[in-house]
Amino acid sequence: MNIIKLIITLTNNLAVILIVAYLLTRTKLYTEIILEKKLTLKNSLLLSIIFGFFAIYADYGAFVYRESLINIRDLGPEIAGLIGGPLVGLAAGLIGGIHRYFYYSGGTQVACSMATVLAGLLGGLVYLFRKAKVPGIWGAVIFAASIEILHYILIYVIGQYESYDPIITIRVGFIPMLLANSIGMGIFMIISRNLVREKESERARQRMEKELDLAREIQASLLPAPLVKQLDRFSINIYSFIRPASSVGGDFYDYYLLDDSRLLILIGDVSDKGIPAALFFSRCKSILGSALKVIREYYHEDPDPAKILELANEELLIANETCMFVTLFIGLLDFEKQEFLFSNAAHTIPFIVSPDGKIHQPEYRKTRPLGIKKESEYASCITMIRPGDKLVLYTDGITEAMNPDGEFFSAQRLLRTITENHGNSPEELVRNLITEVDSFALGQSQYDDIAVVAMSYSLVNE
Amino acid sequence: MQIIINQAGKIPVAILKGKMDALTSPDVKNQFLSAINPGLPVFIIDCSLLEYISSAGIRVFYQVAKAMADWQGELIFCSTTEVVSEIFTMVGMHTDFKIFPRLDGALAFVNEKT
Repeated sequence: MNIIKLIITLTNNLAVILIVAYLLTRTKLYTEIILEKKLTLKNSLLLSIIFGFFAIYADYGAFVYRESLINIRDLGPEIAGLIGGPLVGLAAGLIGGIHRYFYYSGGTQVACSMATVLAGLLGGLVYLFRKAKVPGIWGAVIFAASIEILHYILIYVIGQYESYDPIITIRVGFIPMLLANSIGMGIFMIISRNLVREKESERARQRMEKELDLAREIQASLLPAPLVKQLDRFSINIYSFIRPASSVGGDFYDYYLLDDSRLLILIGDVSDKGIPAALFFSRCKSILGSALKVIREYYHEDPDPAKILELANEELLIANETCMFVTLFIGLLDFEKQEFLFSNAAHTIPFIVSPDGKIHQPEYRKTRPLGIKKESEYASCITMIRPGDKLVLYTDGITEAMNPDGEFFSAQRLLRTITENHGNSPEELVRNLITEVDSFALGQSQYDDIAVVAMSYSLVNE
Repeated sequence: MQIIINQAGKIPVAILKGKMDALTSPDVKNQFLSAINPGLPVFIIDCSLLEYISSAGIRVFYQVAKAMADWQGELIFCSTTEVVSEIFTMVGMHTDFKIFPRLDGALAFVNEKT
């Protein structure tokens, strides 16, 4: 007897069956059966035939020793039973068992045929016992080993041997069959488990993506749309652009007319990015709204940007264990007086470009971001914004956009782009700026959130 | 991003190397928090090799400072590069923390304090 040949025969056989089994786990049929427990008549039949075929294939690849076939015939029906229940297991077992009976006679003929049928049926009973839950890897391996023990008990008890002692057959065949079937079962269960895990993480990912899509929609709905409006004496044109680095982000802006001659405009950047930043943004948004309301309705005062920042800072400091903070620029533009009263909590300072292309950043006092310290004092400063001037607010995602060489887009490039676009509408200016930033980044993935707002106004009937 | 924590006597000195941003900051925070024990009077951050810091990184400093405030411990900085120094000033960190031009200055301050 050639032991090497026996090992090679069984290994080859196992390899072929496992490759087919692997391909099977990639099919819709398998996904339906394992994950959705859809054991329709069609699925059951297919499963029985496929695993019955595994048993037949094992017969043809068997190592013949003294009228017995040393092979992995039991493996197919076992798996069929474990994943498809008693009927599927029995059907696959019958296919394998009947084939074995007519394929090769000899002393173990009846015992081996019976063992294969029993393998499928017992697999099915495990299925019932575990309430359709596929056993773990070790559980399945022990099951496969037990079947081989049973198989050899049958060989010993009901085998018919005239010319030789069955003990020799058992001595030669038992260990190889026990090992080959158990290892085959183990590998199959690993493949199957990987599939289940893969599908589960796929589902979790899809669910997360859906939630993020919804979060993105909610966040987008909290930001104002571009505003082109004709008032009694002024016409106003604001265009804005935002692009978070991931689904949601911490950059934001807001603008609205307080009355026919005053516009409140702000831009902010929450520390960090992604979901934490987006959550903190929602908080900022509502706090800023109520700060403004308190000033107007409670104090009956004109909204002073520094006062808004002070109130918002106090609120943001409450229950802020994670030390999230926000840089914020806020300004109030009076079209009549052409005055822009603003306050800055450590945000990038905006540019103002005149119709003749002169550009500058207003002077301001440096102060802390909101949400860091109670004793932060914010001051309002004043500058002029005349009809035809453009105000460009932005977040540092613009100036710190990086190209593949690790260079920043920089304030210089921003200044140049704004100057080049001084004659264009706010929309054209913003669009050209984004195009410029994107072509600078050369496809380098956007690392930080990006937001820009450009505003201009003009007098009507002049 | 690399963090090397050395000991100057009993005082830990963290040397930050690379870019401290939203991606790398959580790790920096954990390393910082495990480097400080309750009662530690000073923790020095050496920024000589820090190339860039984003708001997420700034937040870590405030979080660590907040933790140390429980026992009046202090977070101090030294050797900031021009880029980092500009960012620190921008967010007003220079008003909240002691920032020394060089490590020896920071250590002299520590000796005085302890």
